[in-house]
Formats: sequence, structure tokens, C-alpha cells
Amino acid sequence: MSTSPANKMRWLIRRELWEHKGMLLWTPVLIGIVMTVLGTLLTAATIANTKLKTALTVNGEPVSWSAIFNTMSFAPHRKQILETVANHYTNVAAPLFLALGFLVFFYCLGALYDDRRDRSVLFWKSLPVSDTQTVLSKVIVALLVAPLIVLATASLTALALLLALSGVLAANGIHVLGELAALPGLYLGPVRLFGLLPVYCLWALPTVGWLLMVSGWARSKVFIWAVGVPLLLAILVVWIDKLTQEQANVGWLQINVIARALLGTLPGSWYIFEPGLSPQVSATDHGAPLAQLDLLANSWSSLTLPAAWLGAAAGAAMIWVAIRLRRWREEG
Amino acid sequence: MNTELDKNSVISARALRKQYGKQAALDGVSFDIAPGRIVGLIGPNGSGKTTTLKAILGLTGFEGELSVLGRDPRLQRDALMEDVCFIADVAILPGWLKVSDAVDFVAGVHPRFDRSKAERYLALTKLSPTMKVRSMSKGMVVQLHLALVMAIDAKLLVLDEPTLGLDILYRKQFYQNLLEDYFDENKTIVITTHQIEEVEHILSDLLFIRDGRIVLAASMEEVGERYVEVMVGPQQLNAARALLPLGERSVFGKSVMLFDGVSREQLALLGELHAPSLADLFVATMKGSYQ
Repeated sequence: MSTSPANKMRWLIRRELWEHKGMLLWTPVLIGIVMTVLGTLLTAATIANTKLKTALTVNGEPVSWSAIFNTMSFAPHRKQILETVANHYTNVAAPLFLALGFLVFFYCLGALYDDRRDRSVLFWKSLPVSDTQTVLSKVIVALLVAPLIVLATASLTALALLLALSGVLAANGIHVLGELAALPGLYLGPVRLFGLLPVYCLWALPTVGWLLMVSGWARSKVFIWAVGVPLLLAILVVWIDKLTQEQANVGWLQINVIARALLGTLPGSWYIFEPGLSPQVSATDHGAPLAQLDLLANSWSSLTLPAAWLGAAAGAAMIWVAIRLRRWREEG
Repeated sequence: MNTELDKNSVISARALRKQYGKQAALDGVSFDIAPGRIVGLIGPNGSGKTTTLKAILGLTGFEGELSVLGRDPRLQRDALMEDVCFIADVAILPGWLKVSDAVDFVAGVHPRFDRSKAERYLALTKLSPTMKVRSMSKGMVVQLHLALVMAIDAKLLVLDEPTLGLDILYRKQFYQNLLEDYFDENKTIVITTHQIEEVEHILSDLLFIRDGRIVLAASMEEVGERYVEVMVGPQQLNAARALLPLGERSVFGKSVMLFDGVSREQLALLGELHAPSLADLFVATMKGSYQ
């Protein structure tokens, strides 16, 4: 087997997965399974409940929901409902994306610290792997491997929930699976999710860089350092603002430095940092078929903002520092 | 010692200096290690042993000139690690690592790793491929680490207290394997240890370090020629002391004195001659280290 740089990188990534299998793989899979089971039970219970109540009473005859749903006159609504479901079903995976934010955060926090704490760093350093390769393998796991695992789990969970919903409906006389399967949105949903990955990488880079830097530097209490330093900075600025009677700095700093150092690993964090990105949904727009926020295009448009690239550059610089720390920080 | 680095040496060090705060860990360390030698770097705690090894392995910065296999470990560490292997005294394998994964990983990243050799070593132990480091005894972890390291065809092997915490059976076995299966004339081994008596018979060269300086650098043959121990009878005590012994201790009422570079003919007149043990030589050389 060759020991080319590409091959070494493959082994380094595999090494990360061995170490963090529970965190990076089993946590999302478990959340996905729990969501699927709970979702299915909840759907079944809700529909069972609804069935008890009749939708309408026509001439003293009770009419069930399924009867209404299957009538011709309901067809346009039916189509609209199904399309909305097909286009948005991946949103049910939101808990997994929230989990991704935490997974990547804590993965980075331990990435360059854990093996210094248990002193196995000297074993890894005895092998012909450069510190640059080691740190970059951790960046790749944080920004690509972990999100890809979560994206795959999220897609499967959303599909499983959709199938469960169709199954429960079918058991109640409403057959929608065939129609859903014919809708392009069903297949585009996961593709759109994966299409967000490059945007995620860029916006997460500053947080990943900051955490890796602290992880490579701190001798103990990484979490305190990683979170405490930005918070102290915030307090300091508030204090300076009070002294100088200026108010402008706090908000800017909170969003552009503190939040970006700590919250970047949350998918969609760009909407926190750039509130202007989310399109204005007018409350009076009742006619619109469920405000169609094109998440993919909208998110990609965030890359036209200089803040995205400035943050990414800061993140890359902090990763460079992390590499230097890995090389020269003395152990033992 | 000349100030030019010796290109024929595996390790050539000139005036290495390293400060930790006010304390000088290395205070002008210079030495050469030729290929095919087994060198004991021996000194009391805090003498600069580990710092010297860290400098050789590119794990610490320092002042001075150092060449390891023709490379500067500060600048060319990545390339160096293909030819150098080390077991640090504190190096521990991580608890989550499985035996088979460890072998796969080293095989994947190390061009000089011989997988079948590692598997042969492992077959001699109680380790099974699915075992995790977490569930191993200290001795088993060291066995795994050694199996991995000894399967690497490195030009330089650095061992910092390799047998620390192991029982006598493991320690004997380790040095035996090291000599019989690993060492050959193309390899160089540097060992630090406090268990001097265990390495005494496998070393070819000796480096004594004290307070950040090399106080003795000699081959074992030279040591045998230079240092003589004499059992001095009570009548000869004054005559013997006049020859300025390095050290003096009493055994069963007789004085045992250690001499450096005094002719054997002269010493034979004083009493019975012995070759000193390394431990005694060490004690005599390091006298007053902790004062």
C-alpha cells in the first residue's frame, strides 16, 4: 500500500472516525431513529384521534376526512398540500441539524486537546505524519465528514417519516404515496440539503478555526477558554462603551466576533449573523402559497457578502496557528 | 570537541542550549553518535536527558546546532520521522485504539512498517486483534507499542525509559528482543533509563549527562580501560587516596575506590582490581548532583 499524502489523509480521517464513532456516527443515527419512531407514533395517534371526530355531517350522515380528501373537488387543494409536503419534508430533520452544530463544536474543542491530555500525542507524533496533515484531517472531519454523515441521516430520517406518514394515511384510506413519488420535490429535497454544504463550510470556518486553536493551545479547561475569552471580550467592550458613552461597538462585536467564534457550526448560522438575508415575509400576504423561501439560493447568496469571506479568512488563519501550536507546543 | 557538525554521525550535536525560565535544561551539550551503536544517555532526574531527546526528535526548540541523519530536526521533522522512531517515557496509546486498527494505521502511514513482522510479535503476546487499549494492562499496552515500533525499519530508534512500569519479565524480554530481532549494524539506538544495570550489557557507548552538560562520552571499551575499582586494604588507604579516587565506599570493612585513568600496574599494588559496574560509575560521577 502506498503512503502517499492522499492515502495518509485517508488513514488520518479513518483514525478520527475510530476515535469519535460514538459522537460522529451513532449520535445522529440514534437521533434519527428516535425521531422516526416518535414521529410515526405521533402521526398514528393524531390521525386516530382525528378519525374519531367526523369532518362534516352532511344530511345527518357523518363524512370522514378520507372521504373529503379523496373527492374530486378537493383535488386542487390536495395537490397543493402534497407539493408543500414534498418540498418541505426535509425540514423535519431540524433537530439533527441542531445536533450537528453541537457535534462539530465539541469535536473541534477536543480535536487537538484530548491526545495531549492522555499524552498519546507523542505516539502520533512518532509517526511520519506532518502536523499540517493532522490538523487538516480534523478540519476535514469537522467541515465535511461530520456534516455529510448528518446530511445522510437527516435525508433518511425525513424520508422515513414521510413514508410513515403515507403508511398511516394509507391505513386510513388516503393513498398519497404514488402521487408523492411523482413529485420532483421529493428527490430535490436531499439534493438541496447537500447543496448547502459549501455554504455551511465557509460560515463554520471561523468557529472551527477558533475552537481548534484553543484546543491546540489550552493546557486544561478547553471549554472555559473557548467560551470564556469571547465572553470576557464582550464584557470588556461593554465596559469601554460605558466609559466612553458609545453604544455602537457592542452589537457589532457580539454578532461579528463573539457569535461567529462560537455559533458558526450551527447550520444556517448565516441567518443569525446576517439578519438581512432572510426575505421579508409580509403578514398580509395571505394569498401566497406558504411563503416560499428558497433556502438554497438564498443561502448561496450569502456568499456575496464580504463578511463570509473575511470570517473564512480569519478561520483559515486560526487553523494555521493551530498547526503551529501542534508543531511547537511542548508536552510533558 | 570541534565545533563543526560531523557528517558521518547519526546524531551530531554542538553547543545545544535550552532554557526553561531561569533553569538551563541544556547548557552547551555537544556529542556525536556513530551509526550502528547502542548508546545509553544516562543522568539523574532533571539533568537534561529528556530535553536532549526532545531536541533530537524535533519536539522542542533550542539553540545550537544539531543534525540527525543529516537533517535539522527543527526544520525537517516530517522527513526525519520516516527514518526515526521513538517511544517516549510518557507516551500512552489512546484508550479507544483497537489492536487491528493500530496495525492498519501504522501500515497506512509508515513506508518502513513491516506488517507481517508486527503480526508476528503480536502473535507472541496475549493481545487479540479486537482488543482495545482501554482494556489492556500496562504491560500489554507496552507490548503493543513495542510490536508496532519494532516492525518499523528505522535508522534511529530513541527509547526514553522504555520499560518504565514494567515487571522484570517484560523488561528482560524487551531488551532481548531489541538485541536479537531488531538491532543490526545499520541501526542506531539511543536509550535513557534509570535501570542502568539492565542496559549495561547491551550498550556500546555511554553518555553521562549532568546539569545540562555531557560529563562523560565514551565507548564501553574505553570505559573499561579508564575506570578501575580497587579493594583497598586499610594499610594502603592513604597511598590510594593520594591518587585521587573518583569515589570511595566501604564494603565489609574494606574501602572500594574508583579511579579514572590511573595505570593498572600502580593500582594493582593497592589491592584487588575490578571492573566497576555502570551503577557505581554513575554514582561516583554524579556525586553531589542533588546538592
